[in-house]
Amino acid sequence: MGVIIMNDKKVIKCEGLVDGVAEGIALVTLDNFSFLGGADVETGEIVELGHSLKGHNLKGKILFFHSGRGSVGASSYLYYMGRRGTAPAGLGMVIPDPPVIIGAILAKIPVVKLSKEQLKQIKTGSKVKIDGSAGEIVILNE
Amino acid sequence: MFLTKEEEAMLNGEKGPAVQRAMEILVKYGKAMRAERMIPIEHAHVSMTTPKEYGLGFLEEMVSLGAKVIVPSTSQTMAIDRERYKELGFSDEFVAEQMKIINYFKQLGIELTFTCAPYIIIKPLKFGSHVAWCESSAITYINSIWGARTNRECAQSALLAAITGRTPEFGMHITEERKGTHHVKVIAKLSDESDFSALGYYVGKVLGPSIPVFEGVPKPKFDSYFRALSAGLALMGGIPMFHMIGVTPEAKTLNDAFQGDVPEDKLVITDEDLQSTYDELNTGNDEIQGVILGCPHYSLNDLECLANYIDNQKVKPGVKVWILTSYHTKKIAEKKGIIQRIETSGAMVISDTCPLLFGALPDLPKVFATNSAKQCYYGVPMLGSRYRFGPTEKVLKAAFTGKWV
Repeated sequence: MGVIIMNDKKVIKCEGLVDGVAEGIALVTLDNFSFLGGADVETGEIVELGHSLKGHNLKGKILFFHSGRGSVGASSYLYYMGRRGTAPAGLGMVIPDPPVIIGAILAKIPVVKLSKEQLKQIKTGSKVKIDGSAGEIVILNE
Repeated sequence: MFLTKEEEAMLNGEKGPAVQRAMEILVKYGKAMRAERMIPIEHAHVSMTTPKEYGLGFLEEMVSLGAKVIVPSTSQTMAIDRERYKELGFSDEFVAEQMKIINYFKQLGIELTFTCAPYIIIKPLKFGSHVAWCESSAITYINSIWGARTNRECAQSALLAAITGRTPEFGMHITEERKGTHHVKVIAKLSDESDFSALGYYVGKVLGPSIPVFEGVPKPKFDSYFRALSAGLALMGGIPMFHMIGVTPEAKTLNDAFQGDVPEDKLVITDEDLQSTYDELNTGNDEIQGVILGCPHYSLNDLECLANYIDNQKVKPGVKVWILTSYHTKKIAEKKGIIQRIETSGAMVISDTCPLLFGALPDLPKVFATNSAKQCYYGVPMLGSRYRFGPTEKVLKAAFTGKWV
């Protein structure tokens, strides 16, 4: 599945995992990311040493990443970020893992599943919209 | 996703608001993980047991909705020893916070086991039993050693499963998903609990999420070796299960473990590989101020072996020696006089908790000696302490002399 152009906008057809629609600036990494220890839950800033997105802020963003593998404690961190208002607005992942999914459901964050190739089509800084029910990513402007 | 009539009733609120909320989340979870249906579970192991835990708000929400567990459920380690918190130095304020959480668990109907190794104290689950557990090392242990089936559940999904008696069927619940993914031939000599801990750490780090199949590992002398291996694999690799040829129940033969799909490549583990793990986790100097044994929690047999080994030796004054176990095990060991035999040495048997949760304590040892890779790995960022990692005898020698030699 590649990218189609609809009404001058790039649309990526992928899979919906957690329902809901979100719009925001994309943060894109091919790395894994753990919400446990990866971000400051009070501010949303990515603090993991050596992470390609270190220094970016997750708050209100659409985070595209490989997987959340690592500690199962990640669900609690994402849930808490949802309550604090520091969570990303939406997630796109290549390999879904239960703690991130549960955290996203509790924090009411839509999630889509996309391929590595699709992930590479999205650039950090682009404005995007994801639809977790339809399984769709729309790139609003690059 | 297919739901039975009873599950539909749960979702429609016929079994009360807590069950409804739990089923709503589980259905979304199952949908996302591409489960086709729910399956009944026999047991759950639940976390969210410690103050300052970020998921606490969710626990409070479920308690306020009147949630009760409907399958036998155990609880994960908490932040204090229920009998010795004063002696350990926890503040009244902190203890009050912890007591509030203990009360939530009581209200939910969860057994107050507070252990990371619930498999030691519950009746063994039958081969093929479906359960929902959190605590990564325990998950790896029961999938591998018992052939019970659980995914790597998080605190919330395990609680929701306990409340509904259901979990979505995917991953480790499905036979095909339990087949080995990597062939690991061990030529390194494994002679202590710490070697199994180091092996798990190393293989977890190299393979990442996977199902390793070990060849060349003789059946370990003690169950604690399996626990140490499980903890290491889960720690570094998020590994939900391993096979050990001729030892674990789903690996009578190599072919069995791989379900007929034996890969050509092998990862070979040498003495040098284990040594590199010891080197990596040795972060402290030789002046030992603390000793930790019992990660994961020690069993009655482990405590008895320890008491026999200590005999009449004495801990060097000033060294804090912490032996970790569950409350349940400790009470049995007390009746047999084992705890007294250990503690006349100056060591302290602690139940319900884990030193990694002792961040709030004043005067933490600067350098710990331990046979657990997990303590060494997490302790540096969580406590700011440093570690010496080695075999159990060496760790005990450090307890008696205050030196790592």
